[in-house]
Amino acid sequence: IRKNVEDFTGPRERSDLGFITFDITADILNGKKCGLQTFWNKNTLIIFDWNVKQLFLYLSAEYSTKNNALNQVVLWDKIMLRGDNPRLSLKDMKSKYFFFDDGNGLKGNRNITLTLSWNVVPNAGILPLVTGSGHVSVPFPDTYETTKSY
Amino acid sequence: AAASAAAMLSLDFLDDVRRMNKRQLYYQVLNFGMIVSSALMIWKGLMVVTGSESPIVVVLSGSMEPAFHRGDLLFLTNRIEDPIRVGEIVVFRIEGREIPIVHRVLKIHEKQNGDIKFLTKGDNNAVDDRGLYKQGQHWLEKKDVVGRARGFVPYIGIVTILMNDYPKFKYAVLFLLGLFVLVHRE
Repeated sequence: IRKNVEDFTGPRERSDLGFITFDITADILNGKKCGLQTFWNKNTLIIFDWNVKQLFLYLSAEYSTKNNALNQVVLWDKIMLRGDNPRLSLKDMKSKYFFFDDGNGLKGNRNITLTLSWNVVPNAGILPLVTGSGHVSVPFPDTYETTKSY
Repeated sequence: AAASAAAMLSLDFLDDVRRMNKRQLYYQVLNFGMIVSSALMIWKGLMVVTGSESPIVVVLSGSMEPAFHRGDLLFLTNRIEDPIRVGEIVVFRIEGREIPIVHRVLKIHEKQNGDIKFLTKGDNNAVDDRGLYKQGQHWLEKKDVVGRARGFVPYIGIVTILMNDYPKFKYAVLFLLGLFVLVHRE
């Protein structure tokens, strides 16, 4: 799972608004390695087994600001039904949801961590949340962008 | 001939009831009471274990499709030690509204001391829930949460929805159950 990003921020009223463009390359089948090298056919059964109806994938940004010790914002999500292609290769994606901070904590914030996670929705049973391996840290610039259009 | 057969049957039934003397009747009523108490105790026990005031809820709307549909049953926990994080499915109540809503957490802002405010959105909705919150309310807080969905079973809750939408159905079910328990001899 790899992501590359470029970004800029702009102030909107009282809160910082961040813009992130990203690529997602993910192989959900291999996302759940348990520290052992497993055979190919075993891997194909791990995530999408008979009891999995769908995966709800979401890309979240996690960061810390002066105002709030922990912030998490979902930038993008997707529903992957059983039978859909489990390999994602998305380029130049814009975030689906506005990345507003609660305050002005994005300007100059050096450490925004992006992680891909998913909620396994079974046909019946437990609803676990799984975090994919591989995350990317993104810094936001120290100044606001006033000229770029999104 | 049919009329007399019917008359005989109803007399037999009445005889049966008369034969059940007072002691047996009290016994049956106590039995019934015990069943109701046990059910209540199990429910209260679930409330304690899960930390939620409503450990089992029925999905009422289609705003979380295709994950959950109307009639699905959700099992909730609401333990304070579990922090609220994005991606979780929460069941919450809006102040002034009775019906709880099942949606997913989209954004959280948590302070050092644990105070948290968060925003939700239904998977099947185009926009987040701010339009649903109370006038002037922009965030949800821990106190609004009934529980987090940890597991689910499809379809079973349809019975509850039917009983709600068609009260006659509910009374019929309760009447039949009561009749069965009182008349059935163990």
